[in-house]
Amino acid sequence: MRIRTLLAITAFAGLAPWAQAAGFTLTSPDIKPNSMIDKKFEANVFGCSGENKSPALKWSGAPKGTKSFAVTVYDPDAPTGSGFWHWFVINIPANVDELKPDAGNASNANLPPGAKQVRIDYGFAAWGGPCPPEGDKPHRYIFTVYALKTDKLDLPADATAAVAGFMTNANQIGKASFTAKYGRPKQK
Amino acid sequence: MTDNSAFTLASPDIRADAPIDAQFEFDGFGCSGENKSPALKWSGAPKDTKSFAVTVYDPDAPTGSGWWHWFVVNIPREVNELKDNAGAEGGANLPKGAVQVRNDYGSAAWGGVCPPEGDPPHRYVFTVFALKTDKLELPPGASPALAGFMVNANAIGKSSFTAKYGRSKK
Repeated sequence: MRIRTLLAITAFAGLAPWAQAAGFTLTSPDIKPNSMIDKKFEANVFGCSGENKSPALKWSGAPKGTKSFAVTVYDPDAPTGSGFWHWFVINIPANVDELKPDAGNASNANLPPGAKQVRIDYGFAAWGGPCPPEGDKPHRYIFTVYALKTDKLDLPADATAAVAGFMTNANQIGKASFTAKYGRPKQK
Repeated sequence: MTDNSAFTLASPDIRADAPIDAQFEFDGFGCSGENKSPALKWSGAPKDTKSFAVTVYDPDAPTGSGWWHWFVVNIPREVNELKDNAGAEGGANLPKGAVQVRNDYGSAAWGGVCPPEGDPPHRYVFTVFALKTDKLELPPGASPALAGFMVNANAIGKSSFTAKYGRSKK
């Protein structure tokens, strides 16, 4: 009896956030989940030769109470010991539900007003496209939008992506992700 | 990596799989330790080692990418230890030639342990890498991920131990 009551309470308490999270989705008109990313999104540094433009992203179904969004792109397969942050945008206003193509331009001109790019693992504050080592099995690239309970993350100008990740996780009330892949064949 | 099994890393200050002493805690972000790096010693490096790199990494930090606490590169091949507080900012206590990479706090120094209060103790992985190059050419301000990529690409051996640290909820 007591256990049943406890289960009921647990289920009830868990319902609201679960329902919100299930409705929160992230998509890209440029990249299908679990498919290969187009070469144009590849980096243009470290031996890579893409256009280094960020794909468009759209989201819907954010939890009530969202005050801002953050968007990240992370490669857990990069042979660095800590994966690789390819993009990290914070302070996206709550009334925004997309990032346009090339929003990750280093000029910041294509970002929604108020949004800010964090320094990624290439060392610059912009989109840094995929650039897996030639011959590696295709890496996974995880695209995530976070709904945050604060309208602004106060990060130092030169904050690392890890600090931004910590602050984002500490303030998130929901998130939605999809994963796509990218590989580069070994040059003969 | 034929002689890899003989390659070992140890600290006189921290026992493998044991809790880390509070003196090695960070001195910011709500932490209040001395933020001094522990002494480290290694032996049995592969014959062709040209330089060493040393890293300290917390895979349990809730960031999405763990947390780099220390990253030293270009340690000359004849060196087999880092002394107490070798990780002081500015590099005065480092072996000649060695360079500290920017850690995840944003400083080129030892950045001590500082897990969130109430988290189960985090793991801190101490690693020495034997490299086939005497110098890694990294851009100034390089991220630890970039340094990690270069270290892995040049490693001919490595040795690690893991210790733990937690802070109770106040």
